[in-house]
Amino acid sequence: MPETFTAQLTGLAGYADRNATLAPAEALRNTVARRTRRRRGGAAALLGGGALAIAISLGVTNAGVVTPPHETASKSPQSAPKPGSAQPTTSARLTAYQTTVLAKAHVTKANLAVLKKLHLTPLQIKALGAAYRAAQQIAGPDGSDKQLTVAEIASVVKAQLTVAQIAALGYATMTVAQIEAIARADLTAAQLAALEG
Amino acid sequence: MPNADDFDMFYAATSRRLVGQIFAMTGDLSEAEDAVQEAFMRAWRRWPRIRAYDDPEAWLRVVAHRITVNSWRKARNRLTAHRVGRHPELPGLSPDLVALVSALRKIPEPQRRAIVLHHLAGLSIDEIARETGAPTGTVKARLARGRKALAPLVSEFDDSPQPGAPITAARD
Repeated sequence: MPETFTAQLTGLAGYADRNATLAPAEALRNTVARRTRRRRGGAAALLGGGALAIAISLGVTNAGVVTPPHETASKSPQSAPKPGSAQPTTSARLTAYQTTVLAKAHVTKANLAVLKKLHLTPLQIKALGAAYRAAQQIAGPDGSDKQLTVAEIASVVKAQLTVAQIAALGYATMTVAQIEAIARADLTAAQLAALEG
Repeated sequence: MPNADDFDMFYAATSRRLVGQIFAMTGDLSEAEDAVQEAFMRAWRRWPRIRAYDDPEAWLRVVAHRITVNSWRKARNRLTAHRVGRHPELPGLSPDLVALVSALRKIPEPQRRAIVLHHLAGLSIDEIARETGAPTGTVKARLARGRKALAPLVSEFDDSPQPGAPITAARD
């Protein structure tokens, strides 16, 4: 192998450098300010934030902690329905991580409602994220063509989207970033089911 | 906001480099992005103190690494999936580098971290020992075992060539 190991690792880091999507420093500072206000008991401070729509419909837990969504959902006492008791319809909660990811991409409650209306499963949403990304790559910012990887094709096939779902998605005016963020948020079936709309 | 310009310049200068290093440690670019951004947010909260450190970047790298490790611990089922089945897509990465990511995933996390810190971040054995809180002897052993495990892929590590030998996960 002609390349040294350090050169290979540098190649990996270069890949990350080229492909990483990082928020501007100002956005991070603003997030810290929001978290601080929230910690100080300013529930009202939450209102007006980018995550407002999602937070209102789904609730927000564990501010400031990057928690895998499935774990938080399973820990949440409200996510496990009690037999025989009437459950509120909007009880699924988003983790701070999910809220941040969705808010960063400006995903609205209406965007999520579209996915719910289509009865997409979390797996299908993830595949959708891959499909949108792949589509973006095919078009390419410079108009150049790019072939899909086997993994990308497999993920789309695995999603088993129906023709009706694909057609309906065509009418939904979501950006690639929004779809990718929704896929990345890794919403559970319970969170999706609890959506209003 | 005091020191905001200072923080922004530091973020612009180091964030992508840190993402590269954490990406090499985790093999997951999204996770690396999230961890590094979270680490910078924590740094901003105590920026006056952090900026006075000899090496603020090392502090951020440690915090970002802990964030990734904690997220694995909090979801052991997902950790299992991460290590044996889930391979985040890496579009546009050359086959050589995809193989490298795959090989790095197969060695234990402490070895991977030592390898990345030494060969990518350019840290000495002593510096790695300080950053990871491990004795220098342990760091040396981790590097040696990591190199041995990666030898089939990386010729410069391969002092006893075994063509086609699988990369096996040595103990930490």
